[in-house]
Amino acid sequence: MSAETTQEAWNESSEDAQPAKLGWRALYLKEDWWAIWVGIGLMAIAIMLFNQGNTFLKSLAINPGGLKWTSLDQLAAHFSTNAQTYLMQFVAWLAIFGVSTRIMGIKLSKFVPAFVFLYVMSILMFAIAGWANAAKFNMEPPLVALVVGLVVANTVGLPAWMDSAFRVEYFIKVGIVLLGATFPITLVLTAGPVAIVQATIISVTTCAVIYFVATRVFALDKRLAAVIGVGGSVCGVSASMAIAASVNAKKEHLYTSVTLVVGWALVMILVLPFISKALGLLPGVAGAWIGTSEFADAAGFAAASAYGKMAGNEDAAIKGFTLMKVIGRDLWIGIWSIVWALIATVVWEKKETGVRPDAREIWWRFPKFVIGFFVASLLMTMMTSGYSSADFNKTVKPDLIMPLVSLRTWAFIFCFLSIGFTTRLRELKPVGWKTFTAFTIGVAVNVVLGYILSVHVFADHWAAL
Amino acid sequence: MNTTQCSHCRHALLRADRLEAAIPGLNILSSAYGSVRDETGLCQRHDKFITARSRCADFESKGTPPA
Repeated sequence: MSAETTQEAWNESSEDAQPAKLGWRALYLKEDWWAIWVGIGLMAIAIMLFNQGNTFLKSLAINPGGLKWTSLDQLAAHFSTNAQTYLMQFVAWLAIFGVSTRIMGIKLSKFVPAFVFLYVMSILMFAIAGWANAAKFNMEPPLVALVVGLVVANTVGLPAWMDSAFRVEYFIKVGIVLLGATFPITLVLTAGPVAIVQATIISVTTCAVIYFVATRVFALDKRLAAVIGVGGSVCGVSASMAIAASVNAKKEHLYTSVTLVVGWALVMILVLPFISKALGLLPGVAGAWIGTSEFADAAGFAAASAYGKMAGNEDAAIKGFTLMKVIGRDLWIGIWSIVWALIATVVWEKKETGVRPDAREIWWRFPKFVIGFFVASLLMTMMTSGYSSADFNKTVKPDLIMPLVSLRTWAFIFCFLSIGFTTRLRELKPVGWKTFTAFTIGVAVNVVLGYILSVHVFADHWAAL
Repeated sequence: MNTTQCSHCRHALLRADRLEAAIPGLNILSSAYGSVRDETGLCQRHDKFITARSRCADFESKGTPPA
């Protein structure tokens, strides 16, 4: 061990000793739980105000995305008229995300200035989306936000401390919980099983292909093969990190997974919507296909949302994606953790790993924000079940559902911009051609198999969304 | 509480902010603050991923000065 590493380790020892499990403290130290508190909290406030006939939240959920402006004067007039509302909205978002991230351990002195920048850039993205001709030039907000973020991060450059506010995963989780409020529980229950079947086929096949090619064809380290195999088949870097602990993978293994996942995820965000458009896929079908092809929730939402807007039915694309990716594939993380821990301790040498498989991993590593999605879906379904279709469309949809949709869109734009802002290409570790090829073959299998399942095998199911 | 677990070892990097700083790019499409990570951390002694519940023969308690 180098002297430098020894000093780092010593510096690290200034951390207080902590219990091996966070236990109940996870309720305020993990962003999954915060996504639930924020998402369900906003939903509860929205319902309460709706029942009182109060339109405060409706006005606070303002964004310029639907303006269809044709001159900058129109845009300026909108901001001039609503300046106070935007200020209140900014303060509300700052309070929500500032307080929650501070409790999780992120310093406000870094978060606040970076969030101001993020909010201003988000306004700009919405303004671009609100241009009357934006759709004509395929300037879909997720794609524009991603490209602008990438350009800024890799040309002007943003200091690393600003990442404190660019919480990609936190924003997408809040958005997904809010999405639950517009997702009928009946749809979750009827479509969920098909999604799980399709996700199982994809997950097992892709992971097996990457692992087989990496170890048998290229003789790569089996721990590296496991880490990138799960990264390509379940949910990207998050899954890789979970499995890295199960197999005692090295730091460079995860670093490799980061490069591969980020690289391919970005390519697919920019390519899949246009391929879907060229193939004329129905939005629900394309959403399911993107859900089986993309590794990360945030990247997939960007692609699905972009295609949904291109096809004129964002709702169906997002529903197909959510069912496939969030409900289907993400649930595999805990299961893969146990499977790989079993393989590492039973098939590989036990002394090599030191990590015993534990069935409780399924719960410990369960993406808890999914619970928030289910709760939001259930609550809103119950809340709106007493309304006739006419009353729903006349009052519930404009005064309750649409404000929540707007808040969700804000969370998504924060997320898509953050992906770009945090992607500093020069920081990504170069990957050897064998590793790249093994992963890429897995990606190809994933995309083709996902296409066959979404567009042919389960087409009727996804087309009906 | 088992005091020889990695959670008490000075070589274990378990805090979310330090883990994200140690692995550039981790926060692009993932997060050290998520439930999926659970208590996964990085052993700086062996350069391997561990969990807070892991243990090994090279355990050194937090507060032990470097050799």
